Amino acid sequence: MLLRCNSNDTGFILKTCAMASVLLSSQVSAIELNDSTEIHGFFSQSYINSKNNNYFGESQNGSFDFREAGINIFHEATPTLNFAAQLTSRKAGKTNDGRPRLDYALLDYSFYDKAGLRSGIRLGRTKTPYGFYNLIRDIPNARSGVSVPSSIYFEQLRNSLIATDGGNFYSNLNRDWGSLSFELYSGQTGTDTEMEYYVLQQDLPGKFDDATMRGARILYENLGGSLRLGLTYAHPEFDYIPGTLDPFGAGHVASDMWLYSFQYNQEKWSLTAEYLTADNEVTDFGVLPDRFSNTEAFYIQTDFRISQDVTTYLRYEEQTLDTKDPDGTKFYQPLFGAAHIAFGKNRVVGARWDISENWMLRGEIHNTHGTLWLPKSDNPSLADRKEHWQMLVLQLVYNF
Amino acid sequence: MNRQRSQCLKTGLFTGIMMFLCLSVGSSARAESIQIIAHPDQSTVTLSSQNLWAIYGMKTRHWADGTLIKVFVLPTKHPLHRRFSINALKTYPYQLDRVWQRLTYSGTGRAPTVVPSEQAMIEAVTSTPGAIGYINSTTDKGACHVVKVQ
Repeated sequence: MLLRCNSNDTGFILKTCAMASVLLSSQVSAIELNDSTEIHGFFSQSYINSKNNNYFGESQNGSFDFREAGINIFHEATPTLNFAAQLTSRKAGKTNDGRPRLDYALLDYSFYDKAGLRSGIRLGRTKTPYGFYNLIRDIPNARSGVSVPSSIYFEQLRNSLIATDGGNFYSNLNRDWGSLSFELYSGQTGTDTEMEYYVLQQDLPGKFDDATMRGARILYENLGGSLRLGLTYAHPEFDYIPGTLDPFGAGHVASDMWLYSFQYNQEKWSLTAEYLTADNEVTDFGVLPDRFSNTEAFYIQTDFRISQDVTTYLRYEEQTLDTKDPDGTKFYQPLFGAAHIAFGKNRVVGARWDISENWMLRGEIHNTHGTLWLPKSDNPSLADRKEHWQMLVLQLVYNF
Repeated sequence: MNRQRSQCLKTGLFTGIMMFLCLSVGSSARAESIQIIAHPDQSTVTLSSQNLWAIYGMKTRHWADGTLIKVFVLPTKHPLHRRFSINALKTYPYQLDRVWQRLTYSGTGRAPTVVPSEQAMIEAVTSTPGAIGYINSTTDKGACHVVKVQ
């Protein structure tokens, strides 16, 4: 019995290895159903080992609890009308359970394309234009690290940032001095439990209702794209629906976010920096006094392409929840008993190895001070959260 | 105190960026020539380097006559693709990959079709209406139209 079980196991392992080697050796760039329809997809599996706090699962003991998968279709119905949709799944400790969700599903009508100017509208669920990386924040081979920088891209508020259900107007202007891309959008978006921790420092009986989101982004790029500059405005609004025996009232949260983006690219290196300033209001929660605060965040990352297949990078990032209380001692320490929930400062060293056209391996070491973007669902006890924490992340990615 | 440090750091970073910019020298493109080829139907087409960049960035999607542009490329690591990126587009293969990945996985567009060799490029461009591609200047272009880039 034992022998049979073992041989079955061996068979399974052999089959898996055979499948992996087929995938590794064959190069798949897309599945083209016909001239106007193609399918792409990706998969990632991470291993995280952290010290002092958990990040996506019980990572202090080593965790494989972070994986992503996605598949998308793009169809050119007519020369001016496209349809696109993507289904994704994300398992990230207790913050995402891996259930498939519709990442985007849109109709794109390009009503003008002449003399270097192209304009159109997208209707449906569209990715929210925010900074350089939000559109592809969940695409492991396209983003700048094992995840997008937490300081600017708010992992804890991801459901409200990833996509908007509504309309999006876009326009691209191409001239000899470069190109300008403009997008304007408005619609509904989602919320998540981490949002409750972010605003009120606890998982509450009530919940935040679907949020509204509107904003705009303008990007400048010179010919060849060595210089890229961006300005994003975003205005999310959320309503809190109190649960039974809820200490809080039907509160309201809104923010005016301004994000400045900069990138300079050369053959062997790139420099990317983004800076965010956001004016927030948290009002009508009853027991909690109305609060008006300014959140500030930035990161700077340098990438060094040491060969065609290997890139190393360094990143420094910060987020300050309230610029009037940057070290958390004035407001957060007295009210919640911990100052470190008010800020995050992080140093990242990483490397990326493009093994083949479809396979990529990435490794990162994080050294973080502060728990502002620590996933609270994975560290529910405030008393157990440590101010200083470190982690090692390895991520294997397949994409086609 | 902390705030002061953070401000100080930001000023430092900004200065760093500026110094990087001032010191960096644009890499010079080698002068081996490339020819841009298009489907025979596009025989009157001429392009500026800005048009070419907008086409390969998938920003311009139509020819002046309204035909949908079908963009063809060689694999990222193909030496001719690298030369095309640097000489004709004033960019690098990794930047083109980034642009195309953004389009492919955000529902906002489509990446070019990858062909394995120059010969496959000529065949694809000859047989696909609206097609654009590139080959070595010494390679026989077959029935394709050679696009003048000004």
